[in-house]
Amino acid sequence: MKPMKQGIRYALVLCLVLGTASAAMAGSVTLKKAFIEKYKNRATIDASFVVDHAHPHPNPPQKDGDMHVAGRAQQEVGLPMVAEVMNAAQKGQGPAVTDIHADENGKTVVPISGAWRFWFEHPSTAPQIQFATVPPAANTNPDHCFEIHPITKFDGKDVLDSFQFVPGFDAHAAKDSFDSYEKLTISLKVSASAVTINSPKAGFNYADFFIEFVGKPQPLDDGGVVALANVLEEAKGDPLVENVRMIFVPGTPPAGQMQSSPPAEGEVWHVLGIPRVSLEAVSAWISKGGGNISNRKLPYEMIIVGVE
Amino acid sequence: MFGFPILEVAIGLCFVYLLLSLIVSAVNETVAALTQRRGKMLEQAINNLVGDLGIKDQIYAHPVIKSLMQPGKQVPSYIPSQKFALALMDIVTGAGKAANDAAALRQGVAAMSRTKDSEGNNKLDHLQGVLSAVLNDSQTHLKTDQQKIQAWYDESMERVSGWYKRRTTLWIWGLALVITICINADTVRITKVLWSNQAVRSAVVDAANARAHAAPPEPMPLVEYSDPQNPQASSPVNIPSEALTPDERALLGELMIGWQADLKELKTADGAAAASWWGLHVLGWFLTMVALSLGAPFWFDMLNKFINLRNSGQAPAKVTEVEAPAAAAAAKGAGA
Repeated sequence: MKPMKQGIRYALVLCLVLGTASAAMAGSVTLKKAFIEKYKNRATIDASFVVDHAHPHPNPPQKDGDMHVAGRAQQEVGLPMVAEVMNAAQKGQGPAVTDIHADENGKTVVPISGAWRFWFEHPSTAPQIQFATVPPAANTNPDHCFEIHPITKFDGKDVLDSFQFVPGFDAHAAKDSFDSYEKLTISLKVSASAVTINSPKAGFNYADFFIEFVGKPQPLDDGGVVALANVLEEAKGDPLVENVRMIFVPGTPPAGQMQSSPPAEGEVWHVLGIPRVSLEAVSAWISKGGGNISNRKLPYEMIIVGVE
Repeated sequence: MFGFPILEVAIGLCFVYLLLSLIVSAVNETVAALTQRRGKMLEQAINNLVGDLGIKDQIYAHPVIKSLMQPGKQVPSYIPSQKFALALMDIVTGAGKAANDAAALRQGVAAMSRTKDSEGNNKLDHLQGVLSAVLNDSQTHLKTDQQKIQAWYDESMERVSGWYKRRTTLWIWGLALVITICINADTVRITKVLWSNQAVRSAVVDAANARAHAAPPEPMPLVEYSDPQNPQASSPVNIPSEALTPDERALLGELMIGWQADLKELKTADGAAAASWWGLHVLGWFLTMVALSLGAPFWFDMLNKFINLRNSGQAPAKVTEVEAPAAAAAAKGAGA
């Protein structure tokens, strides 16, 4: 009986290793430092984009209402990427969605703008190095850690009004989302001109939460706004997380509300947000003389894509 | 009971896979560098692109391309599209003409039909046909001839990148097989050793802890860029680094059973035991090979997960050095 018991133990260990392995994809992405410096205090990126594949139809609102577009922007991004239109089934986004399909040929270069989003949601097992040649996407969701999400303009067609809560979509609860973000750890490897970031797979795309402003909002380099805020689960109560950078994309309804009625310190807003790695924090770490580290907390910030 | 020994064996396995993956990766990089795999594949691709060995040689001899070659290397491993386009246009327009002279470029393309080899065949008909199509492509949004040639080159290089990735995957599998067999890295046997020998297990867990917390993961590529101030596209260059520390190499040596004792066991085994020996070894080698094909970054992350699980109660989300300057800068930036 003893060999059988031992065999069961070995099998248990192997199952533990291989089973957990399947759920623990990690990604390694190298970014150029000059890219980090350029975008760390911008909400958006403008790029020349080639559409390889797009979903035939936007996701239903119950899923998230996004329109997924896989493509490449070799000059400005240089990483496997996707771009997404929010609330894509709504009438206002129709012309941009039509254009996306018209340009879905892997060749036509079109101008695109939107919020840059570096996040390890769909990491590749192979390291990705920025500005190495990016192959055409094989489908609408290639392994990627870079997104233009949400898009603000596609081939001249403005979709700024898509930045609003998605009717019929239940975004992730604040506690689940921020508990998850706060547990993410990264490793950094720094060279003279590049930073390699290794992170486990991250999730919780859209989070529904309240923000309590803790400082005066400040302008970003591209006309956007950044505000430090505490994250709340409800309109009142203890913060789940303190001092998170909230990014408002220029020209969108959330940024408009920020301009028309600037929030006072302590004011609470109900928002819909998308997380991204804070390149500002990564840059600050490096400029303070920080070198290679491992297993540290992932610095993140939230793109505010809807205000209620 | 699902206790710490099982978790420690899991940590040990992840650690061994991580170290072996690093070796596979380092060997692969070394072989690729020694054989100039990237550069030769690029050369082959450019030869296919222009369809003529002579033109390819002229491109590689052009000063714009020559300046990309590292000392001691026969071919560059990467040619940016603008440099390729510039060199090709300069060659086609001919001496005394500017590379971006559109009329001279079209004359050069037209003159290709008059270039015959010793047997009277037009050796440039492929390049002439392709360039004519590329330059006359009115559907494209690209404005200049150089942009059109760059787009044609980039498109071809995307396919080359796919070929290279597939070839590298084959190399990784091949090297994983060779290294697994050479050092007899049998997962089943390693699991047995880790399970039954507490001293080895403790040493491996200590070393795994050190790898996870003290040092950055070696599989993360160290990269430099040729024009560090430009936030847009430029050529990334991988910098090789030491894969394993001396302590890790020694530990790995202790953990691997090697062939001598194992073969002795096989010689003394009777029919059923020998069959079992082969069955378990083939299974163990196969598991190791599959594990190594997943790559070092994967196993580094797995190792961290198991170590965090073992040290449960120690929250990884405390304010750390990354956040401290970041929070300070953010507060400053946001005026808080």
